[in-house]
Amino acid sequence: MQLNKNNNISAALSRASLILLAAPIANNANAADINFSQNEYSASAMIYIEENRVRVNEDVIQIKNEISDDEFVTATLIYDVMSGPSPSGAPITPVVQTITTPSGNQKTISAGDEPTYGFLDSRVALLANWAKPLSNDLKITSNASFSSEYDYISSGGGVTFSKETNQKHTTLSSGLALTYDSIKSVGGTPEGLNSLDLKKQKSTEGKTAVDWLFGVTQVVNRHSLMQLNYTLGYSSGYQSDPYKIIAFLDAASKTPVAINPYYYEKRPDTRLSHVLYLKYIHDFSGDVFNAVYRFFKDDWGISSHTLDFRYTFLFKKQRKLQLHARYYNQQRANFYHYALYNSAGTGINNRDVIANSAVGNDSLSAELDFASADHRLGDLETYTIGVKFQTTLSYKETLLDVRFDHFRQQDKSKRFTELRGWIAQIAAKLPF
Amino acid sequence: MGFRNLTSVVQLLQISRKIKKTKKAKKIMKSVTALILFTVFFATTTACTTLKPWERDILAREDMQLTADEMITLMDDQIYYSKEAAHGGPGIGGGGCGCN
Repeated sequence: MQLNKNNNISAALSRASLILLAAPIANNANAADINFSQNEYSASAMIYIEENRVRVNEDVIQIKNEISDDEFVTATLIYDVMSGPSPSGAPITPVVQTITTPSGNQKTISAGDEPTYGFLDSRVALLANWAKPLSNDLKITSNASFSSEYDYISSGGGVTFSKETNQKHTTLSSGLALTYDSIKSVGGTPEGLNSLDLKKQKSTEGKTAVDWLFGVTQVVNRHSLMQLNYTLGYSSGYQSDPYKIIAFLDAASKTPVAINPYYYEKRPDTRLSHVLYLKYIHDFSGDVFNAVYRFFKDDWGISSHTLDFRYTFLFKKQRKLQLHARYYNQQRANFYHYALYNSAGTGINNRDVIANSAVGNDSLSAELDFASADHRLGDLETYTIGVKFQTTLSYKETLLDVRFDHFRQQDKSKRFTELRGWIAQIAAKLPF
Repeated sequence: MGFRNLTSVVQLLQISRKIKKTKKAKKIMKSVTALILFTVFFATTTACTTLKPWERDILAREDMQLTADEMITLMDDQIYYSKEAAHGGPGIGGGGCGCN
């Protein structure tokens, strides 16, 4: 007991001296960037379950090591397994639908059911981060990432510079990141707006993305801190989802047309996005309030608002209880359609109507530039509530987190089944 | 300093009302909105307290860091990236995925 007390005092004094020496302001550059002079092992296991849909098991191991004064290297290994049915993009209809799956099989969907494709995939990702002070008030953070799935490989890297000014009350950050993704989907990567039955396959497609970030972090007072980030993103290449389709329906019966009723979706080759991100953290004598507002807008017509609040109650023996609430509101992409129709009719938006003469065509390229029925590009809302419990174990002051989150997502027109998901996660951080 | 910034915000709002809603004007409005947000941010922060190094004890706490709850953030970012069209904000880099 006495030994534990001494250890606690020693750790507290060590941390206090570091505070005086470094007087750090948290840096916003990367998730792996925490300024404590402390080597750590971290591990996490998560289960994510959607009702009647996807299930994901994800494990993470991370090592953070101080290789010289204030110079940190962090390596993170992620492994996840994903499985379950995912929406295809075809709508719910009052008749039985028969759709060709990406692997070439025929799948029958009952009347009134949402068409989905089943999938099973695993992913391995490796993230590396290197933070190094260049002078008393200037720091460089470099990161590299690699992620591999059966049909998707992503690799990238970036550099962020952070400069402290105003007696270390203000931190200015600017960074650039580049990502290259390679897509090789099951059954070949399809050409957009071609009929499923006349699939034209390409072996591999690619996408390049560049993100530029400018951020300001400001100490407001002894108890609070603010951060404002602006990110400009540009991506070029294959941006469609090779597994998503769009249906061509008869306006009178609201059922798929007789010939070529399903087409592959097609999204623009380029995307320009703007993100404003505002974060505020406030201490209430040990309790911590954390608020985030994010505004996103891109040249596909998508705009969204995200609000995220966390309030952490501090109890005795450094035990903490955190309540979490999140709200997300999205406005659809210009080329999003619930389905395409051969003429106008009751309950049909004019923007979804194309010429009746197009019925049976192998391709809809003459009628449309782009089209997607992926409802992640539609008008939607997401609500999340959650709770987290944190305790400090006696063994080397290991931090243990357990959390549960529940979210619900619904398209605003309520044409699809509400998506309900649960997240359970346990995470530990062990100093060494 | 803060008062001057707030005056600028009011002036910007007055100007914005006079602009007709043409395509060009909409672009200008977007820039103005962004500028207002930045101005409000700095107007509120220019009145900040100046702290001595020994007064940074609370801000140096781990739960007061912008990157606290890193493992949870890592998972949440991936989940919402695969369920919503918007992404990014707190930082850059980290890699992509073909999330379904």
